[in-house]
Amino acid sequence: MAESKQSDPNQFEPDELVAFPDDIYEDETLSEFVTEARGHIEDAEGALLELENDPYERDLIDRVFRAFHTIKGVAGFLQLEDMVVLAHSAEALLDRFRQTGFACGSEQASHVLEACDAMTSLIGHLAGDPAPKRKQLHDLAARLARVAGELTEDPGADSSATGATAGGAPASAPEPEAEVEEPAPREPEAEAGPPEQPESKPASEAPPKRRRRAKATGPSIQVGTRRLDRLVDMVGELVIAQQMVAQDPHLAKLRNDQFERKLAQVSKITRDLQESSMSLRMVAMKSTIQKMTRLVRDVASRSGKSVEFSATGEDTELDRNVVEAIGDPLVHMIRNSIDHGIEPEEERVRVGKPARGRVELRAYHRSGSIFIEIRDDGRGLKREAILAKAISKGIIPPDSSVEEMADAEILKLIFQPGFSTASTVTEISGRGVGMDVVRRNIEALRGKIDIQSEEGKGSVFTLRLPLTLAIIDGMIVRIGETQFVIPTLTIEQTMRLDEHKRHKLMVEGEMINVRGSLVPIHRLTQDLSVAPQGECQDTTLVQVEANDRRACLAVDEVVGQQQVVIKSLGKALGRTNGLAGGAILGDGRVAMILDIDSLLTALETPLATV
Amino acid sequence: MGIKILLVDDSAVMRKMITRSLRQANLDTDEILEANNGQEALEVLAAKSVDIILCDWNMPVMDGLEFVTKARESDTTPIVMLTTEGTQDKVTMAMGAGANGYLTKPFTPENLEAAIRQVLFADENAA
Repeated sequence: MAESKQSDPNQFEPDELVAFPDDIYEDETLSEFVTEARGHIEDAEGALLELENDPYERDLIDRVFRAFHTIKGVAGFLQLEDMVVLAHSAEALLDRFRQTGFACGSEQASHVLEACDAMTSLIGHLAGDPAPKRKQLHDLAARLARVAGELTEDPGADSSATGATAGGAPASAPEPEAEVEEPAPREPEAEAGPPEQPESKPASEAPPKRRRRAKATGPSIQVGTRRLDRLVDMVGELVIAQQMVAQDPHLAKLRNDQFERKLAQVSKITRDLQESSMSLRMVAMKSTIQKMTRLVRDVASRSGKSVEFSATGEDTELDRNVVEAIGDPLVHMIRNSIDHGIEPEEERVRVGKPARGRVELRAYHRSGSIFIEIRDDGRGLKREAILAKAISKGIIPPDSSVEEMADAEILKLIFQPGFSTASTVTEISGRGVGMDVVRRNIEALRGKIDIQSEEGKGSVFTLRLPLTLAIIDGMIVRIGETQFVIPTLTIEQTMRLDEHKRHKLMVEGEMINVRGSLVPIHRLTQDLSVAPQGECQDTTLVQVEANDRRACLAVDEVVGQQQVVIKSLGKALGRTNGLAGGAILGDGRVAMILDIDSLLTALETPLATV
Repeated sequence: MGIKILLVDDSAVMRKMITRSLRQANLDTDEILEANNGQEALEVLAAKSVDIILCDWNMPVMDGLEFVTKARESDTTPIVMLTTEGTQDKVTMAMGAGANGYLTKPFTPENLEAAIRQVLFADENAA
């Protein structure tokens, strides 16, 4: 049955590219197919990774099978021949597993994962990516067919070949017969033999059957993200407009109960609407985590390390735009953990650790933010190595008083541009991006990254990200007659300005002594191009931190804390240094949101430490 | 009076393709209902009657064979199984369970029309 679709890979030139029919790109179902097929492949990958722990689980094999099967069906209609060939060969291999009852262990799963990759590139080509090479595809298809062909000996021989968990595989393979039947509970009257499955699997090797049922979520539709973004924007506008009405002084003079009630009703609906429109853009971490599972597997096998990956928080939801943006940083951090964190097996055994390294990803919500932790039990970061490297790269001066540097400060050096702890640039992590890029990406999302590390025990990287990019937690401060919003995440503390602690330095400007270190004081009145109106009495200091720089902003008053909807400043102002955007406050007034990082850069703050 | 069709397939794109084939075929279709899987199809059938059911094989929740078996407990609407190459052995099972015909994907609108006509015609004969 498989043979009919198999073609000889050698009929293709090595450089021949896949070419789909020209008219395919005009087909209006194409984009839907691309989305659907991507979803199928993602699902298949997830199932394949689960299969590694559970190589006999029929449900999982069915899921992978169905993915390729469905793609093949549609591809057939669209006359995407190469896609059909590939899908068919993968499907045929999976069908062999079902029919023979062979374990789909990690070796076999690798082949199918490759098919997933190849399929992804074909799908990508439909979406405008460069065409993959035809011969490679057909080579892979031929290999899959060969693997399928090998699945004919009895499963006893298979267990040694796969190294899978099939401990005491049955010599008298009763399994295949039982497994040839269709899956799932079936009506016995379906004339075929009685599928009673007596002791088809010896208790010793049969993993407990887990019946996972996807949560019933009801029917769903697909909506383009652009339309969604537009909706969220419009709702943002609505919230502001509603607040403007609610706070309008003329209307407030009416003092009309009925009007107040109606207004309260509108406010409530607006708030609900805002919440649910935001939630539309929220997606679970699941698919990201799945990609990371896959990545760990690939990186570990390429670097010859044995790594166990576990992840919690699949259901943690965050803004789709955030999810997209954290993909690359996560990839980089995980590669980093495996490449530089996890030691080679011999070394681990020598220091008395389990031979298998562990990398753990945890995602969770806490106090309005998403936390993602990447934890490894590798060698940890070495204080001396980091310092030596930082000095050799000129990141810190050679005569730095390193003894006084706190461990946290030293660890943070790895986020400096030009720093890379890799002593040998491996194929895997040597992509030319360092942790500085990771940090920049995270900060661009208004997030934070932190490291904790214990030499010999491992490291933990913690990302803290906002739930959504559309809203920001801010502290509203008044300077003169103008109100500004300072993102709460950047604020370290606020304090009364204490004259005794203030130092006036001729050269470096005003500083204040905060627990032993001098922190510069800035006045927006003097320093910012968008200066506030009125005189600042500077009675209060807000200490902010961004990108390892610290400074105190002098303000008159902390007005309060509020979530604000970020509005872009529009093209007229463009990217103004020091400002992240505008927000409309509860009283209808506009306040600028300060971008502390670029503000401090603009002020050319010297390093506030030491 | 046109034909009412129930289309059962877990792939939305596939349903679209088949719908398109149905429109291109020389058939007087009145209404095309869709279901994601056998379970949903049973629910549709409980609420509405159709002239013919086009049903995929491999679907989550309830696959084609189970659907045919269940549907036949109370329903005689003609069912055409949409198979792909390589599943001919299952066709026999489906026919045994009560399906009236099958068609291998991918198919042309002409093939689809022929398969539907054949089954509907056979049904009229039997009635």
